[in-house]
Amino acid sequence: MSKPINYIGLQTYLKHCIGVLPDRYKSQESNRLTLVYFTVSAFDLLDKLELLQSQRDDIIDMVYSLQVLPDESGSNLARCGFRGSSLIGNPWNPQCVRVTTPISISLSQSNRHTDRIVRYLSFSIVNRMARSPWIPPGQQPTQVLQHDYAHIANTYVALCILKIFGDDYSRVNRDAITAGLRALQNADGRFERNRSRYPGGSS
Amino acid sequence: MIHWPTRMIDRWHGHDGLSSFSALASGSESDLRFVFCAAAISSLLNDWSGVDIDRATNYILSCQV
Repeated sequence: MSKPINYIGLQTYLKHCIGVLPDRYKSQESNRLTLVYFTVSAFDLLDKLELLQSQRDDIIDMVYSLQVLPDESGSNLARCGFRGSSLIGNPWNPQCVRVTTPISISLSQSNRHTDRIVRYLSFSIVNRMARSPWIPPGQQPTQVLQHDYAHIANTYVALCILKIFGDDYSRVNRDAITAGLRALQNADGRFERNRSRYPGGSS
Repeated sequence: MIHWPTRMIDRWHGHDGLSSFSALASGSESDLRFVFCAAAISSLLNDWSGVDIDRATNYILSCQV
C-alpha cells in the first residue's frame, strides 16, 4: 500500500516556497513566476488558499509588477505580456503605469535620491528581491529596456495566478498581450516562446 | 497613434517577412507547448484576437502521428 500524502508537511513546504525558494531552484530565477504559480496552484488544489490570504494582495502586486507594458509609440508591442522575474531591472510598478519617461530625462531632473535609484537599477541584474528595484511615489517608471520581453509561458501563469486569487484583470493590458501573441505566431500556426534575438533552450 | 511594428503587420497579412523573422529567432523553439499557452491566454482573457485560430488548428492537426 502506498504511503498516504502528508498534507501538513506539504503545506509547510509550500508555505516555505512562497517565502524563500529552496536553494536548488536558484537557476530558475528567470522563471520565478512559474514557480510561484506551481506553489499557488498547489494551495488551490489542496483547497487551502486561505493560508495565503495575508499574502494575497502582495502576490497579486508582484505579478502585475512583471507585466511588460507598451511604450507610447507601441514600439515594443511585440514583446508585451509578462516576464518571468524582476532580474532585468525594471522598477517596481504594480499599478502598471504606462511607461513615459526615459531614464536619461529622469537623471537630468533628478535629485540625489533619484540618482541612487537609477544607479541601483543599473546593477540590479543580480537582484533577487521580488519587490526591487523600487521607484518612489511620484517618480516616473523608466524607459523600455532593450532586453525586456515577455515569455508566453509566464504570461499564461501570470493570468492563472490572478485568476486563482479572483483578481478582476483590471490592470491587465489585454490589447498589448494579444498584440504580443500575434507577434509570436509563425506562418505554420505554431507559437514562439518569446521575442528574444538570442537562440536558446526552452528556459 | 500607435505605430505597429512592420514585422507584426507582415505577419497579420501573411506577407513575406516571415523568413526574416525566422532568421531573427533562429534556434528559438516553437511548438505545441506555446500553442497551448497562447490558447490558454486567449481563453482566460476571453479575447482570441491574438491567435490565428485556423493556422493554429492546422498546426495542431499536423502534429498528429
